[in-house]
Amino acid sequence: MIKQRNDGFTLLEVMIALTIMALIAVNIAMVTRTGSEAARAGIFDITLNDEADTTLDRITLAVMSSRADDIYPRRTSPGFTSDITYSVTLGYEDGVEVQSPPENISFNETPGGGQIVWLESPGEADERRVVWSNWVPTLGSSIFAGQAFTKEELNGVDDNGNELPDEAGLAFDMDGDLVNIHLTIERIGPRGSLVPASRLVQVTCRN
Amino acid sequence: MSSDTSSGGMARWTPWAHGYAATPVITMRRGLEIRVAADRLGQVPGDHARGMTLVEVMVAVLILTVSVYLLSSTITAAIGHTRIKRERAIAVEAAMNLLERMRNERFDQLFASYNGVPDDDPGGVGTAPGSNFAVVGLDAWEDDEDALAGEVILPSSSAVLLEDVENRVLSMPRDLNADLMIDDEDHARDYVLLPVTVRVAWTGKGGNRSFEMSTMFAKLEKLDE
Repeated sequence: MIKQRNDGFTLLEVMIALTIMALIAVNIAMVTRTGSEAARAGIFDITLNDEADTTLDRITLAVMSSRADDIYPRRTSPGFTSDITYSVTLGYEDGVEVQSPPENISFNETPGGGQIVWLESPGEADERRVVWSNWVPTLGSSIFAGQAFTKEELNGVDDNGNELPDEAGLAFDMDGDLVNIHLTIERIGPRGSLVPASRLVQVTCRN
Repeated sequence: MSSDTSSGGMARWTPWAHGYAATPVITMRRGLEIRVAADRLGQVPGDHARGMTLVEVMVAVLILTVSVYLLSSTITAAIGHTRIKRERAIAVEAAMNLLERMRNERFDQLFASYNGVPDDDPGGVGTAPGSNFAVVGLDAWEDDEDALAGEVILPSSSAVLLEDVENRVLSMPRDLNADLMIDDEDHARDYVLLPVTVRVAWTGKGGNRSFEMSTMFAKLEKLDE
């Protein structure tokens, strides 16, 4: 006769096993959740910063291709404008400079939030209109108050330390041929709070 | 006692079939029986029901722990890498902004405005930006004397601009005044080329890091025919 060994687990063994498995499961769940949240936040951050960078690249290229004298209105810090009109040099024909039709970059408030809008031939019959970015706040933020983003309040004071009082998410100020472009884009992030992407780019008119 | 019959050609253990309580029997289709002595198999069927030993459990727990640790450290590293990228983006932006500010200056005053000597500043002593600048959001290296993360590197940090200095980053020695020769004279007032490197060195998430951007400013004039 061969003795069969069909012994099951004791209650103690089962309890210990369950405890260990529960601890491991909780640990794995926490790590997975943290990783998932970090990944979502990372993707959100990348998307937001890409939006800011793409918009800035468009603005920068436009300003760079224009002549400083053709940009109006000219505002010197602490003055600023959220709306510039300019012309771009397209090239030369028979030694004569060929200019583009007037173009305009402006911050527009809409019920859904602020927008950056580019216009070609503004006010003319052949006007073209392109929205370059959404999610531009009415009042700006800036990294120039330090690493933490500081929100500009509507109080006549420069709250965020960028020398401009009460500026919106898009602001221009000029110093000679140098144009300071302040841009902030903000959206509600995965954790439910507003996440801003703020930039100050300085660009010199090349023409 | 039941007599197990196989189905679909599959064989099953029937150790209790036909009164052979101790002998495993494999019953094949069409009633063919193969009896195998229990001691030839090395173990009895009941052995399959045994639980894991403590060593097995400990090994499994260890493997799981190591896996979780590796996963969490990977995530932590990814988050840290994002911060490093953000710091680098600030450094790049600061360097580019400084080059744009330099582009906005009068070319013939660039060297005097951005060298390390305040005495030759075009607007009076100490009025020019100088060779060091702060980068908001980045801390300078601990051993940085001026505690400013940004630095403008010109062929010379003194008030004298020489062509024959050795500097591989700035491609020096170089003819700076376009007289087709490299000499040992001071060209602070007649240069037409000015190589510039902007360096941002900061202490951040990844320790001491630095970024350099080099360019060349040139005096271009439109000649009337």
